[in-house]
Amino acid sequence: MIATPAQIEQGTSHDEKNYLNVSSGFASWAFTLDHKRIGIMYLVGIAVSLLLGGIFALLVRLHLWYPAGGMFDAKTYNEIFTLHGAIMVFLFIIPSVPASLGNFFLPIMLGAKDVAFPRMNLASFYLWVIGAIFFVSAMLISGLDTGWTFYTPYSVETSTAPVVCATMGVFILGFSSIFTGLNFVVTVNTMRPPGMTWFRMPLFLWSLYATGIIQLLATPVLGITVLLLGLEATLHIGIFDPKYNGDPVLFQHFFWFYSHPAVYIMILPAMGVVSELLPVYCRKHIFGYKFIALSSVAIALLGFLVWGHHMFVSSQSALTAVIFSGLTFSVAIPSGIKVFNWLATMYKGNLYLTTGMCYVLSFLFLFTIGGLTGLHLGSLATDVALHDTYFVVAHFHYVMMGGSLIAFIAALFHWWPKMFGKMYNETWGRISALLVFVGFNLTFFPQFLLGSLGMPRRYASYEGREGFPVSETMLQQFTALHRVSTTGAMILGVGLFIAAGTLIAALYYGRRAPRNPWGGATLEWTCQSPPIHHNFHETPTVGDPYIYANLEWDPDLEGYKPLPPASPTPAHEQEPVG
Amino acid sequence: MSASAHADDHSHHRFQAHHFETGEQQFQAGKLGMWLFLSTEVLFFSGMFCAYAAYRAAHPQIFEDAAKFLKPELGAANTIVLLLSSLTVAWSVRCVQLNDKKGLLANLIITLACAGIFMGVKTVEYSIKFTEGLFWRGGYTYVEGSHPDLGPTHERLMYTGLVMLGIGVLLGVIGIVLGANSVGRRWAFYALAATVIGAGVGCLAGNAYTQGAEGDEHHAEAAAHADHEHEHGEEAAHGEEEAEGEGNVAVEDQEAVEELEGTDRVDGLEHPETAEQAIEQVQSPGEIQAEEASADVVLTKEKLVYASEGPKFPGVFFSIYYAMTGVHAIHILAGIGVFVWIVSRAARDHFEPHYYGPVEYTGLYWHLVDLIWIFLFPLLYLIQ
Repeated sequence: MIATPAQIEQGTSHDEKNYLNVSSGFASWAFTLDHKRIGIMYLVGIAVSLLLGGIFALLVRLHLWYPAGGMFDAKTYNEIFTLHGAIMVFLFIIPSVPASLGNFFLPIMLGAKDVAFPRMNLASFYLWVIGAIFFVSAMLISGLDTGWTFYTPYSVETSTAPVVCATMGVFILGFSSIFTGLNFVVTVNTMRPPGMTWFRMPLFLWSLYATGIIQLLATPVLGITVLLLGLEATLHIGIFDPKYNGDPVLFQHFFWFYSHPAVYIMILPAMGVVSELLPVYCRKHIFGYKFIALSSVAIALLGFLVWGHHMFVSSQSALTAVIFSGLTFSVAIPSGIKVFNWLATMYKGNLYLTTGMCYVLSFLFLFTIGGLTGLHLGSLATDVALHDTYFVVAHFHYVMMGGSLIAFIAALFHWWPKMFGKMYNETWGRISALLVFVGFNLTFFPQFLLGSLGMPRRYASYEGREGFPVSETMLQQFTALHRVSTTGAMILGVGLFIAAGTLIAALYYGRRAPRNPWGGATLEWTCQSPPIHHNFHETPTVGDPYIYANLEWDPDLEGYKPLPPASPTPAHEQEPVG
Repeated sequence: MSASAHADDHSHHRFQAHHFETGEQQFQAGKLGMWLFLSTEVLFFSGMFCAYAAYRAAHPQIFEDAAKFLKPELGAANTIVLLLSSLTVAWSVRCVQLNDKKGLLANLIITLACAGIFMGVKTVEYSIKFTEGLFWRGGYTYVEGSHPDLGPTHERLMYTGLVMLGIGVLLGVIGIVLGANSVGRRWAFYALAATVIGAGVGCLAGNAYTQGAEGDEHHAEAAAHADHEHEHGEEAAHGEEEAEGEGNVAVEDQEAVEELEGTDRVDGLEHPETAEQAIEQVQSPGEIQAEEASADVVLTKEKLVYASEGPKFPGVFFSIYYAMTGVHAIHILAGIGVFVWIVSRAARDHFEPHYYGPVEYTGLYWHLVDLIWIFLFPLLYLIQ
């Protein structure tokens, strides 16, 4: 019996140089082509963006403590929520899981040494940096008050410089995103190791693959849209600006043709994370592998057909609206399949409530609420009433933040030992998960109520004025709910800081991580923690990534190790039971 | 495994990246990457094609009329030039597969010269439109019946073309001098020289053709009109005298011109009496920006002034024209840059039958740029 490379490596000591200490100095990072280092650099950039966007979010919430708005004038308030939205969407969520964790783990999960185009990968990171610089300059110029959607005609009437700055930033970030997606699709297509058929790929890779397809097909449309918008604002080309015979609704069509699929760029990798973490922490084979894999692709494709549901009240024809509404409901099917399969995976599983698992459980709860409230917005009659209210705000925060951000944190806790070779403090991790869960619901659940009571989004005050009359009862309700929401946001903020603190403290005080602390069966757990520069000495041979029966807890290692093969059947030829 | 091991034997080349198992795997990855990139390019242009379709569907007559300002002959010439360059690109790939370095370099140089010619002809087209005031919507200063003097533009274009020829020759000489000890650098300069000379030729030929064509038109109309000279940039005074000016390229119908003279100071809307008759509303310059609200479009066969849309409406056609051809031209420029690099690498013997990925990928890109032009040409120049 020949030992697998993984077993050979298991026996070696930890002395081998890993990707973090194989070389040092600024240049060794700035010009690195190593996907792991690029992933780490992305992670740092994304974390800074999250902090920035989060501060703006807290400012928005604090401002709304008083009905008249407590902190800023209306114009400044508009700028703050715009920056919150734009930074969170373009700088944080879209690159979050794919560009940082995807970059780090996609090649390792494939048993490859790197992504297909390492230089393009580095270029993608620097494009992200340049795009971020454009955003920061738009912020410093001040006056970006269009909302993250840049709707015409307002975006071509308000001050030009920050809008042009921000749209150029979006254009450049788009290329960054395209490069990442292209790299992932090509890498998965051409660099899978022997034994890894399409349906033996870890589900995280399926979701990154589907994400890559969306990034490739949707982002260029956003690119041309913001390019034309920039030309409209500077040269008045008359394509979107009604003052020059343009059509503002055309802008909305173009914008949402990208930005709706972009929602799936944000959520699909998060779903991949959940599909990856759940079976590990339930010690049970994933339920309905093929359905989860194919539903990712189905979501990616259906996601292109529903952009009109953002425009039910933008003078679409009634027929168009009905068609878009129907197609919108169809997206619920693959999403429902996923949630069903996740629940079925947990059923009779052996649950380990690690921090990662706690976050995954909150994901399931929050994403389900977010998804189900999407049905209210997808049906025409209710959407007309709820459009542009806090109901919409609550809905997409449940999906984007309760979905993507929570899964991102879950993934960070899950893979932190592999990325940096250090174990985090489980107690503090769980406390953060609890605070985030409670804080999140306190923040956003009241917003569903606010929205159904008629509180419009993006308003700087709710004391009532001409065109927005607020009765005494309404004012009391609004005030109470806004204050609950603001309190929740503070708790949420504290929870996120504790999560970040736990992870950062692990780097300094954490005990050394074993190869496989959680007993995962995907390839990243067979290489050293942290991985060596080229990930693997030999291209590994792989089998089903969700069979845990041949892993055994070793108290000496404080981690899992592969059982010596009991039968002459090599591990990779075993089929899942049932 | 056995297949890849087999490929291993004779496909290890010096440019194989460490993370690929075989040269074949690297080639396939690059090719898939390029195809995916091309799909993003198609979608990038699709936004503008959609805008074109939306505006054309909404204002078909305006698009037809405005398109008459484009010269199909120049577009056709550019189409032929680009098709030729696609042929040479395909041929260059075949040459590198056959290890024919001379053929590879020759084909790439012809490709670059074609790209240069294309840009030269585009320069002529853009310059003349700018002189006539046919800008995008926001900068549109063309006034019905105006007849700017194109003489200085033609002269300038001629000098531009000659200067380009000079620069091209100079680049060639620099290549010979600087490239004494670097074959790659020498050929990069040759490639640039070919491009710039191509641009000069395109500029001169396009200019000469346009000038000739205008001379013919002028001749035909000379009998009916007195000569009006209009300086470039005099559009501020539009409204009165330009309306009386002689017919331009699009206005050949004498009746329409007379009708125009009669009604050019009418501010309100008038209803069309017959389809043949022209009714226009030339607003005073101050009002043009302010009110261009929608109402029924009043159309004539020959004229570009529309009662409902304001006299600047055809600018939207030119917005789309400049956006599409401009973005396409940027792609040509990018292609030129990459081809210069490919020529330089080819001259240094980097490519061989087992490693020619970059030639093939650049070729694919070039075919797509060509293909997009194949759509732009009929949509903008030909559909009537």
